[in-house]
Amino acid sequence: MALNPKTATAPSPPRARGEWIRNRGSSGLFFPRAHGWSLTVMIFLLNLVTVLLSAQQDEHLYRTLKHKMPVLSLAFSPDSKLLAT
Amino acid sequence: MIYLWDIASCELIRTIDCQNQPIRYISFSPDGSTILAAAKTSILLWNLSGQFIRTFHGNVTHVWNVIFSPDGKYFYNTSLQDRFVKWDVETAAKVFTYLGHSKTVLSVAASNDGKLLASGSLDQSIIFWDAVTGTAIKTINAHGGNIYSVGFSPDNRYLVSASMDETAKIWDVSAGTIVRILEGHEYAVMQAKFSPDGRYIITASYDRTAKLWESATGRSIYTFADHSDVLNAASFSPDGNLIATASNDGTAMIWKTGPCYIAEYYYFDKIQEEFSQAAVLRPKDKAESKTDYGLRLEKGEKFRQDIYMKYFLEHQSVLDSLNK
Repeated sequence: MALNPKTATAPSPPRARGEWIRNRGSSGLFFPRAHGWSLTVMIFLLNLVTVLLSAQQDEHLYRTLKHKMPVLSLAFSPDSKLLAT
Repeated sequence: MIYLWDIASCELIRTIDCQNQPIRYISFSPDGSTILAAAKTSILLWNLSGQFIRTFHGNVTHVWNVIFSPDGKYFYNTSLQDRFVKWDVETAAKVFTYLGHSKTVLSVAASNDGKLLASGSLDQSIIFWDAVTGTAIKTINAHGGNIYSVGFSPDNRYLVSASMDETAKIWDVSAGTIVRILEGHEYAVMQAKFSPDGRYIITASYDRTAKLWESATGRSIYTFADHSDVLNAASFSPDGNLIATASNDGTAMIWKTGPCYIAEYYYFDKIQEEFSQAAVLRPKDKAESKTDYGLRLEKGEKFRQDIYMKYFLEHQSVLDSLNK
């Protein structure tokens, strides 16, 4: 049976598991084929690396004071009991 | 908004609303009873309970820097102009305008005896002033870029300046000559301050790091690199036990100080050898109970601090012998 070339959709060729396919995004980089399980593993590993990196904080760090905006200035009180930021 | 943190618990104890103006600089009065803030179009004064006291008006735009005089009766401010101003805290009146720089003055510092002032400018120069008469005493062509910060040493003999030229410099105040160039940052240095004992300098840079320097040698002995964006400020606590750094990443970080920095910089191998041979620092033994191990950890920490202090004092004796 002849297919109308304008409407026909060619079936994707089968790919082996783990085959590298070209990312069609603007970056032009290559990513592993996004099987469900491999994508999950990749995200898990990325999170693990992020957690491990963030856990490697300087041993001299005493506290981190979080703000909603950039911190432009700070000042200790003369008795060293308060910090203004 | 100004945030007031308790250092011991690191809990936020108060926020002070600054009339929706961004705050560029904060300064405690010498008696610790009030806070002065450099806002965009005014200078604002509060007491520590967050009660607003007064606004300082009068041709004030883009205030950059505010510092109290050592007696707390006056303060000085810079504000993107080629001059800086002395104010009376009580009357809110302008007392004196210091003219002499050819470009914007960003930073001003007062010596601890209240006799001298130093100002740093976009004209790349530092001017020393008689604080009482307002006379310019000495001008130094100090840096190859904008000067963002100046600060006196506790004994008033030295001044440290921080610049866009990626360096901080230590100056002999009486001679007006350079003593050390602190090189190592990879971008503009926004602030440089002496420690309360004058032994160290902390610098904050746009290269996202703060560096701890040994004043006597000009060596960079430690780099604090945990911030994820540029640093705007860094300072020692007045008791010398902590360093605080402020960043565009939306955090202020507080760091412990101590003899470990100098000890590890100069005697790292010897210290590691002593640590590796110390029974008190060995990993938990299977036969050891949790209680015993906890007690050993405490002893181990004390042992570590003693070792650091031993090598710190050894280094100080070397410096003292060189200075004789």
